[in-house]
Order: sequence, then structure tokens, then C-alpha cells
Amino acid sequence: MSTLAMSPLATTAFDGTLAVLIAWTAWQSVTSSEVFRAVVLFVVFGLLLALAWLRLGAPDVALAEAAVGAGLTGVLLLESLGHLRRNKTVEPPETAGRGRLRRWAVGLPAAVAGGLLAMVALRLEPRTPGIAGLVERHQGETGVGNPVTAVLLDFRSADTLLEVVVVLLAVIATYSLVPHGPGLYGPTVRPPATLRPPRQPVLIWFVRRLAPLALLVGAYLWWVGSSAPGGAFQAAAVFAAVYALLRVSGLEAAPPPNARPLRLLMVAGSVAFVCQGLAMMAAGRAFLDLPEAWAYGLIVSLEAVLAASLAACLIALVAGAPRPPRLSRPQRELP
Amino acid sequence: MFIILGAVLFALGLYGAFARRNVVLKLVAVNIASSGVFLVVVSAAPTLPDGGTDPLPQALVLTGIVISVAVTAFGLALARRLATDEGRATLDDKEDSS
Repeated sequence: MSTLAMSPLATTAFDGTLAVLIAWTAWQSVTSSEVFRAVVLFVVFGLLLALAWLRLGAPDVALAEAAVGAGLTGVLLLESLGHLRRNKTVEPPETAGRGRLRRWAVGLPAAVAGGLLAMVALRLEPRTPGIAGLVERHQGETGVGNPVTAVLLDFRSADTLLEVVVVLLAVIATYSLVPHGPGLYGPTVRPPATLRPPRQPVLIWFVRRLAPLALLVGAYLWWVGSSAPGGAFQAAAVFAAVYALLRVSGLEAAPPPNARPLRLLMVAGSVAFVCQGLAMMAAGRAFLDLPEAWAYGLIVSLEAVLAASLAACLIALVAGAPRPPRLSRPQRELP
Repeated sequence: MFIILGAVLFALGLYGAFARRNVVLKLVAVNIASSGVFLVVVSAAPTLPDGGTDPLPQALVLTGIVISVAVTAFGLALARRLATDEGRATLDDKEDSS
């Protein structure tokens, strides 16, 4: 949480430039008539936003934004775009047929809503020291040095539990969208076939060396999360990114994401979290209320399970629902 | 400054979510709008003496980012299913999409 020694003018100029760049990429992404361009601009937007989080003194959020917000969301969007293109989906032009009146009809309320939000947020009087003091006073009871981790996995761990469940639910919901029926579902279901790109020696050389390093970075993020910015979520995102990289480069040697061990791993995070809570209840405490003596060990080990489990979930989300064997699609007549 | 940026992003995203036709672009816009909300949540909190931000909104936003990626993934899965079933990537009425 160190702020660089810069003159106030320089920081203001930097913040201003950053804010303008972020707003510009967002504007371009929202108005671009080309889908691919909009998605790439969104990734750039996410990376710039990560810088903004750093400037706001929120390095944990910056890491999550770079890894999850920009990285994984970008991969997901590009992957879906490729899927839509391969299926020769009808993509209507974004600009044609949009009257000026219609644009104003949408734009004006949106601008009003944004203005109201700014008005309310600017009027809020920050109550110093806010909750930060409370966190700082009790942080010793958790044994972890990173206040954000303390909040996530001890003080407000119910939120985090539900978050892990939401990610799991997203995987289940995604899988449930596979069209199924007799002959469509069964042991022959293959993981979605990616179009193998031509083997590119430079890419493969690079990925072979980058992947182990990235895994190391992920493990480090998990470990360091208890004392410095980092944690299970950022680590999981990095693991999932390694998988996406292997997949894109055609090197994917991992088991298909719907294999049984991976599916068990996906559930493991939520189960471990609930078990921890129940164990606390059995010990006569409240649900998820960690005892001071054990807190550090419990938090670090739970984070390890969460990192692996979330990584499995995110990988499943990146890989998408297992596609049934190729059948002739029911051809509907388009008007 | 970042509060205003957050509000601008929220408005832009809101506009995009309604004005865009392609579902993938709608999801991009929703993500931009939620980033705006996250910015407002964190920057509305008081700055600590050491230059950091209140850890509670940070944790909330961290949770929010992970949940929004889960929601986006589900939305994209819906979009894929829509594309497989209907051969289109918009939510327009059929008469409208010609």
C-alpha cells in the first residue's frame, strides 16, 4: 500500500489521463460497430482499470481485475465469439436501423442514471475512519496480515462462501444448457472441439516455458495472499489462464474439464467451506466463526482448496459446456 | 475523480446494454457498467492515512468481480445455446431482425 513519492500535480495529471483513457476505451467498446474490436477494447479497458485500482490503493482488486475482469472475461468473450462465428450465426450490423431518436431514447435515461449516481456518491460524507479501524483492531485475531483476506475469509466469510457457490452454480447452469436427449448425451460426449490452429513453433516454445512459470505465479499468489495482496481468487484466475493458454496454442493435454475428478474438485471448494462452518458450530461457536488460535491455519488451507476448486470451475467455464457429438442442427428458416 | 469516472462508465454500460443488438456486446456493456459501480463503491470510501482504501469495500468489489465473471460466463453460454437453436445472436423479435 505504498504511494509513490510524486508531486501532487503529477499524480493528478496521471489520474486524469488514466480516467480519460478508461472512459475513451469504454466509449469505443460500447459504440464500435465491429464485435471483435469491441471485445478487444474491453480487454484494454480492464487492464487500464487495473491501473486505476492501484491508484485507488486497492492492489487486491487490481490483481483480480487484471486476471479475472480483463483476462478471463476476455477469453470467455473471444471464445464465444469464435463459437458464434464458426456456427455462422447471423450477426446483424450494429449501426444500421438505429434511428437517432432511438439512440436518444436509450442514451438520455442512461445519462440521467449516471448523473444521479455521481450526485449521490459525491454527496456521501465518508465517515472516517469507517470500518477500516474496526478491521485493523480485530485483524490480530485472524493471524493474517492482509486486511482484505481477513475480511474475505474471516469477518465476512459468509459472502465469500456464497460467492464460491455462485461460481459453482454458473458451471452447473452452463452444463445444463447442453442440448440433450436420447442419443445426444452419454459417454461419447466430447469436450468442445477447438479449431486447432496451425502449430506455430514460436508460440509453442513460448507457451512451454511460460506455463510452468505462470503456475508458479499462481501458487505464489495463493501463499502470499495471507500477508500481502493476492489470494485464492487471483490464484485460481491465473491457473485458469494457463489452461486457456494451453488450449489456444493447441497444446492442451489436460483431461477434459467434465472428467469426474475435475467435477469433484469443482464441488470441493463449496463443500470444504460449509464443512469448516459446520465444524465451528460443532465446536460451540457460530457458523464460520474461526477461533483465534486456529484462524491462520484454517484460512490458508481453506484458501488452498478454494484456489484449486475455483480454478477447476473457471476452467470449466472457459471450456464451455461439453458439446454433444456433431449432429445436423435442426435448420430453422430465418425470416 | 474516480467517482465521476465510475458514474460515466455506469451510464455508458447502461446505454450499451440497451442499445446493442448482439448479445455478446450487451454482456460487454453490462461488464463496463458493473466496473463503474465497483469504482464508485471503492472510491466513495474514505482513504486511509497510509494511502490505502478501506478493506471492506475492497473485499466486496473482489467478490463482485468474481461473480460478474460467473454471470458473464452463464450469459455467454445462453448466447451459444441461442446461436445453436436459432442461428442468431440477438434478442430481437423475429420480424425485427430481418
